[in-house]
Parts: sequence; C-alpha cells; structure tokens
Amino acid sequence: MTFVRDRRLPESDGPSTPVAPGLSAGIGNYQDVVMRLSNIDPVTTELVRLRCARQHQCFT
Amino acid sequence: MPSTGSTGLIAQDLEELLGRLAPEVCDVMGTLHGELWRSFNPEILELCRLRIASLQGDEVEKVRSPSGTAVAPEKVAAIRNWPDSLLFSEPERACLAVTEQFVGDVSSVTQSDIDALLVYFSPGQVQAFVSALLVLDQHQRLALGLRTVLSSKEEAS
Repeated sequence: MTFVRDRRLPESDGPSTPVAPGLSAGIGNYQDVVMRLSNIDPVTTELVRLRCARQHQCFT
Repeated sequence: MPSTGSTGLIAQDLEELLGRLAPEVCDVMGTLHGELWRSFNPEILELCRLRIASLQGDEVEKVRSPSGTAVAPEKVAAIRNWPDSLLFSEPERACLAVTEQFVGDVSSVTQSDIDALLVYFSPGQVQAFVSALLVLDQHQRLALGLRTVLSSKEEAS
C-alpha cells in the first residue's frame, strides 16, 4: 500500500528562508534526546515513534 | 550537561520531575521553549496555550505565564467561548480553530483548516505556528501525564 502525502502548504517558487529555524532545530534536538533515552527498550520506543508519526501524518 | 536553572519556560513541577528523571530532556526542552516564543506572534501563541490548557483541564498551565506576554484579562476569561466572542480577531480565530482540531484529533486537521490560516499568514508562518502548537501541546500532555502517573505511584507507596 502506498501513501500519497497531501501537500498542505503551497510550494515555494524559489529558495526561501525558514521563518523559525531555531524552533525546527529545537524540535529535532528534543526528539533526538528522547529517542536516545534508555529506560524503555528500543523496540517499544520505535513502535511509539511510528504511532506518533502516523497520528501526525508525518511521512519523513 | 547540567540544567542551567529554572527560566519559567517550563511548568515548575514538570521541570523538577524531568530534572530528576531525564535531565538531558529537561535541558533541550528549555532551549526549545525559548525558541517557541520567538517563532510566531507571542500573543496568539499565548491565547492558544491557554486554550490548550482549558481543553486539557490543566489547572497549572492556566495560571502560568511562560512567555511574559500580556493578554487582555477579558480575552483570557473568554477563551473557552471564543467562537461566540467579539474580542478575538480573525487571525486569532483561525489559529484557535486549528488549535482545537490539533488538540482534539491531530490526524483530522484538514486542508481547509490550513487554508484558513493561509488567508492571514505566509506558508512559513503557518509552518512555524503548527510547529509551535506541537511544542505547546506536547508540554501540557507530558506534564499532565507525569503528574498523574507519579502522584498515583507516590500515593501507593
């Protein structure tokens, strides 16, 4: 089964500067740290990550 | 890296719990919430934060002011009834509508929800707003969850 991601925001005509690069980087850093926590086994962590991704329609 | 101390950006009890259980998460969360309030109109974000708190019944969050942004008290009082209130601007209403959908069922946010934001904001601003919503929602859910789980454990012990 193939998922086709709907485009929610219009595509930029050219190169564009991110409006909030610090926020995007902060979210990435937060997620990296959470994924590296070792109190929960990696398989459970990955299952939770995949469930969250599906709920948020995140296909990256 | 040790925590650099409380900044008020994170709920105090959540900061204390995370500092004890997962200090590395506490540190990056503090940085993230510092960026949050620079990413989009802080008054609108504050309204959305308060709306999330009322939807989730988060009494701690309702009385915090992490952004330091002043919102008119009459707007704070009317936040639950914003659809019927004349106090809120059209951009604020578009953001509050998406906030409710995001918190209630994020998987059901529709293209028309996003298009309503694009009337007032650039695509980059919409992306920043939705990212900020994620951070605000996540903070409150984490705080509520940890309070519930840990308080029942402490009661049991």
